[in-house]
Amino acid sequence: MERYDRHIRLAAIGKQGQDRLLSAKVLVIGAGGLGCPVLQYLAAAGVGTLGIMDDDVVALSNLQRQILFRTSDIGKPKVKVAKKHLLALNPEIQINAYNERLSPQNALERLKYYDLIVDGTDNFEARYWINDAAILLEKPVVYGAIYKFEGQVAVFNHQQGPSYRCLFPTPPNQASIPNCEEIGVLGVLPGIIGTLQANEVLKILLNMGTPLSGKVLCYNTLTHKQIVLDLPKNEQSIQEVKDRNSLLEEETTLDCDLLPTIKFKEAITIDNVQFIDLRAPQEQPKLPLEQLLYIPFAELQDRINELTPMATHVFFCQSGKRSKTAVRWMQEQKVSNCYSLIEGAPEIIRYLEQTKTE
Amino acid sequence: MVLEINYYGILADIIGQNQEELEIENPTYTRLIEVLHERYPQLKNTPFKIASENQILEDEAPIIHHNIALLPPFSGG
Repeated sequence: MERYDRHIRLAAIGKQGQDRLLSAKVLVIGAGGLGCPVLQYLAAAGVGTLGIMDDDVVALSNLQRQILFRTSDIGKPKVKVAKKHLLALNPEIQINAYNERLSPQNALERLKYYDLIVDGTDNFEARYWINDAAILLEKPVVYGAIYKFEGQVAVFNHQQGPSYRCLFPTPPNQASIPNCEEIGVLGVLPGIIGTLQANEVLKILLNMGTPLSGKVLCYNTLTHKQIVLDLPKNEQSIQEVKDRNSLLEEETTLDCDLLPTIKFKEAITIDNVQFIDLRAPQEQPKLPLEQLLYIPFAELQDRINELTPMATHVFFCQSGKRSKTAVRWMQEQKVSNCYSLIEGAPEIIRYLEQTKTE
Repeated sequence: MVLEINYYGILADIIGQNQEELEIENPTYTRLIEVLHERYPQLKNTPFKIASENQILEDEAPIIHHNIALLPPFSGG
């Protein structure tokens, strides 16, 4: 227990508290900017079982803020790399690496095993799945989210407390709230917010202090302005989730207009199809497709004339978010035959590998 | 009443400032949204919560404190 000596010396933790950490099971969803510091501090603190869920691979552009990863890790699955580095930090804990994307199909199964969930995801869909699964399974969620220089931290669903749906009942239109990939983020911001999340996890596991339940902390790195808002519980929004008793396949957004989307399986059967990879050049994995055009999302408006006329254009990116925004924009430009691919690049690679072995 | 409105996240980007003062008579949640949508039509596409004196307001609530925060959802991680 020498490893945890400085914890044990704290009267509020002691040997008993440290034992509680060692027997705790925490699932961290998203091994990105937020997930990295959360995982590092929880592994160092001796949280006995850590689950890591993410389907992405390490990219060069991640290294500016995702501090668990090294340059030599580029192209490797994040959860595998994270597990390796975390076990080097603390070989006494159990780490479960799930190299998969959270979905309505796997969420309940994955969350069930853990005492507490950390939301370090980068998209609204996953945030609502985590929230709803946590309501159904009665698990607390430590939530963190970031935007450029600002972050939000909250504890949801803790001892029947308010949930994310009490704050925002339905997901916004994806295009209205861009993410880090599209707009950039100060590298140290997820470090601060993720560390605050790790702090909340330890407080809850150790039954210490006052967790941010029924509160939303907002922090601005540029001004150091911090506010803690009181969040009232909206019983109705929680009851609706319980009554539904399952996760919504496609979250209905405030502006879910008729955006044409297509599955990869269907897209490859189309004659004269052109795939457009909207990711930045350094994003991995690259897809082995014919008829593939690389136009980074930020350059689309200037390079629209590079699209092959008369072809069916299928846009994709890492998660399906930029592709939706792109197709919405193409619609505004009155360019027909444009689809947003439902899957992101990592999912397509897995699909191609599966069909190859079959 | 003169309200001090603090804009967070993308709202500050849309409006072009973090803070401004707005005079609204007998302000309520609904009235404030009306005024904001009139001044900044782009805000109609962005959801946000309104807090007054650090208390997130329910829809339709009256506004009795001048210190207002507008909080949009963040998705980044």
